[in-house]
Parts: sequence; structure tokens; C-alpha cells
Amino acid sequence: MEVKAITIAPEMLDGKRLLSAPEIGVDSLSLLELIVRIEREFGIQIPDQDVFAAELRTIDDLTALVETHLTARQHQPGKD
Amino acid sequence: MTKPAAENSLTAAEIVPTHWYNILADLDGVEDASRLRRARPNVEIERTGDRVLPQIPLTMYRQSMGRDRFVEIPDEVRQQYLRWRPTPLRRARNLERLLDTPARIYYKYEGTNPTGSHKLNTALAQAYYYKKAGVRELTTGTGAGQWGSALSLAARMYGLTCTVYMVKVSYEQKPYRRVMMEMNGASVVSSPSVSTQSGRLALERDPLTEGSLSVANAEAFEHAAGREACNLSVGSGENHVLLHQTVIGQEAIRQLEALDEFPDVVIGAVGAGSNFSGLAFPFYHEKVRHGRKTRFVAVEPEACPKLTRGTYAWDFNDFTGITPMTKMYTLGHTFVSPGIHAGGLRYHGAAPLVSAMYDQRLIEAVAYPQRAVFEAGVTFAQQEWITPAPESAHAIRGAIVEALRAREAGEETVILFNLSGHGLLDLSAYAHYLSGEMQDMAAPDEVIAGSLGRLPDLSL
Repeated sequence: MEVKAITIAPEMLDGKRLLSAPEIGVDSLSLLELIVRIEREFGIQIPDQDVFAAELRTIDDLTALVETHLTARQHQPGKD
Repeated sequence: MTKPAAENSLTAAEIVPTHWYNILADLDGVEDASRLRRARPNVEIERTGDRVLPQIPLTMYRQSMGRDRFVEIPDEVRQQYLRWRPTPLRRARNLERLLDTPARIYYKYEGTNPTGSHKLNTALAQAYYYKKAGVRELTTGTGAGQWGSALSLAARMYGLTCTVYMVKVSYEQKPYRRVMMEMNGASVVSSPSVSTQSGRLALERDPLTEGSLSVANAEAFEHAAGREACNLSVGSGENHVLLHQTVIGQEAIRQLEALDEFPDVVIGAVGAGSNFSGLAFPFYHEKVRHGRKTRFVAVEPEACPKLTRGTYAWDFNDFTGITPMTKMYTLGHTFVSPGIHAGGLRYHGAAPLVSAMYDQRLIEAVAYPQRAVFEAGVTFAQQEWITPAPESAHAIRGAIVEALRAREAGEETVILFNLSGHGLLDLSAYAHYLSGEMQDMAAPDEVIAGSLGRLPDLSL
């Protein structure tokens, strides 16, 4: 996944890295901005309760959250 | 020529809007500063170890940043609104006669809900979204207690626990607002308290401090940071809060339309800006759409003159500097206003959207001393039979000034102001005024200079 809100080359992003690590710098506010950008990129909308329930610690955790909704969208007939 | 009480022919469902109005859609060139937040590295308190949780529900964030002109009000929230909305729009004929003015003075009265102020408009919406997100507790800071009262009621309705940090001077001056919050099941803590780092820091700096909303907010922020499924909910300043309040102005437009009226000047008191914006923003939309010449006047206390004597800069929203920065007119996050009775107007900064509009001179601002405000409040109570909250009395003062100006000019100015709440829980403040012992408490230059000197250094 390409995370455009972060100014680090995507190939340098290790999925095990903490979102809150200084070089990533995701906090409670920028997480919202990041998710909204991802939503726009993939044409999905993640429900509030899924974001609050997710145990978002690492880049992999965020990737898994997004992939869940990408998969759900693909399985919904009539959705583009 | 006005039609008498034509608004009565409209049903509640016709007046109460189905959508909130988003002013970002009509503000070219100012939206960036009003939308951005800057987090200062390494100062945010992380909540549960390495876990990152969103500060607010995504839905509210989308509302804050979006450019869609209208945002649908969830039906469940609108049904709650219909329990007391539309709020009355009335003409202050007795006040007009007293002032011998050709101006027509209208006011939108937001004090008819159980908590007595406009704050319930956003409290219900926020509690609804937080509940849907899975949050179990809401915490907040409150000044005079209107916001805390509203949030505690909304939290109870949605089965959420509520903890309110109430500014010490108001905690002592307005005990019945505290009782109201406790009746709704909220825990109310006098701020600054010794239970948070921010509270202890404020007490260390000034053991006799009367407290401030920026300290109370910092305490609530810390409270939320240390608890699972607990979030900070704020009652003013944020874009989504101002958005939720636009039900006020949209209703007023419909109610005035039924009277063939449109205001020449719209007035509201400004703490951070939610009641002012709630009334003014929809009229700004009409102004832009129809090329009207309507003026918008924000009224603030001389004790906390963020617009008229502050500076437009990046600053923190709380005393300790742990919240993200916003660009706003500010007196500095460490500014502590003199302990005026209008506790809801003692916040150090104005909402980013209000600030951006003031910076562009799309709105005006004036500041009045405390006694002139209470004089206006008493006059209004005598003439119109509603005791205004001290915050709302600032708008009344502004309306009286405009009405007298209209008399001098011989113009039939149409004035609309937001009577944002009643003052029945502020009678001790009126007693103080009537005793003759009340003092004007303008913010001293050296205090403002000192707190502005502690604005965050963006180079760090």
C-alpha cells in the first residue's frame, strides 16, 4: 500500500513499524487525515466503530483495516 | 412592513433544517488556515501504549474538513432537535420602544431546552456519533457550565459516562449548573484539580488561580488519554461544532422570510464562536448568494478580547500545550482572563473559522466592559421578560448599540442577535451587578503581552 501522507519512500516502510514512531509521526489527529486520504484513494468509507475498535499500532494493523474494507467492497455486487 | 407572526403558519418540521450548513463551501482562500492542525512533535500524550486512536469519529472529521455545502443531519439527531426546535424568533418591540429607535430588533432564543443554551445542538450530535463509534465515556472542560450541562444530558441520553472539568470560578459562582450536570449522572471536577498533571502545573504557577477553560480542557484531554473508550468532546471552536450550530441560523432565515425580513446586522457573543457562527454562518451564505450587505458583529468581553486585542497565530487550545495547534486569534494559551461572570467567554482563542473570517474582515468585532453588558441584560429582562445569560447579554449590548446608531442615522435597520441562553442559573451574577459592587475587568496590557510572549515557537 502506498501511504501518501507520509514523506517516506513506500519501499522503506516496514509493516512492523509503529505508526506512532517519530519517523512516521501518526497521532490521534493525523490518523484521521491519513484514513480519509486512504478512503479517497480507494473509494471506500470505513465506519467509525471499525476505526475505534481497531488495535492500530503498526503500519500492518492499518493495512489490515483498509484491506478488510477493500475486500468487503469487492464482495458487494453493484459497488464500483 | 412586516406580517404579524407569519412564522406561526410554518410547521416545526418545515422550519427545522434537515441539513447543517458548511461555510467552508463558501470561503475561498481562507479554508486552509481554518482546516489545518499542527501537532507539535512528541508532546501529545499517547493513550494506551503504542496504540493510536482517533481523536474524534471519522464522520465528524469529514464534516470538519469537507467542502460539501450541506451535510445531512442524522434522522435520530433531528428527531431529538424536534423535541424543542424550532426555537423562537421574536421581535423585541418593548426594547425598541424604550430605545426610541426606528430599528427592528429580532432575537433567536436558544434557551428553551432543558440545559438552557444553544450548546445542546452539538452535544446531541457528538454524543450520537461517539456512541456509534463505540466510545463509552465522554469528558470535557466547561466554563460557565452550559456546555457541561448540555454534554451531560446528551451523554445520559446515549448511555455514556460523562466527566466534566469545570473552571473553578464558575464551579463556585454557578453551583446549580454543577447540580444539573450531576442530575444527569456526570462527575464534575473543579479545575484546576490535583488529579492531572495540567491541573497541578496550573496550581503550581498560581495556587489562587480562578482557572480557565484552557486548563480545564487540558485536564479533560489527560483524563481521556488515560482511559479506554473515553474521548474528549469539545463544545466550541472546532469546525464540526460550528457546523452543528447552523440549525440556529437556518431556522432564523425561514422564520424571518415568513415576516418578509432580512437582517442588516447579525450579532452574537463570542467565547470561541459557536453561538455567533451558528446564527451568522447561514446568513453569510445568503449574503454571498444574493449579494446582500449584511454585517456580522462578534461581541466579546473586555476581559477576554481575543479578536480585538489578540493576534492571529498558531497556538494551542489548552493551557499545557498538549493539544494540536490551530491558527486563530488568540491571547495566548496561558492567558487567564479576569474572573468575569460570563464564564463562557473566557476562552483565550477564537474558532479557526471565525478567526479566518475576522482576518479577512468578513466579520467585525467589538469588546464591551462587564457592567455595560449587565446593564443591557437587566434592561432586556425588564423589557422582554427573559433573563439573559451573561454571555448572551454581550450580544444584547451589541444590539442596543446598533439600535441607537440607527436612531442617530434615522434608519430602519433590521437587527438580529442570538440570545444564546437564559440566565436563571446566573442570578448570583445579577445580584452582584445590582449590589453596585461589580467592577469592569479589562484584561491588562502586561498580562496579554506576557501570554502572547509564550506563544509556541514554530521552529522547534
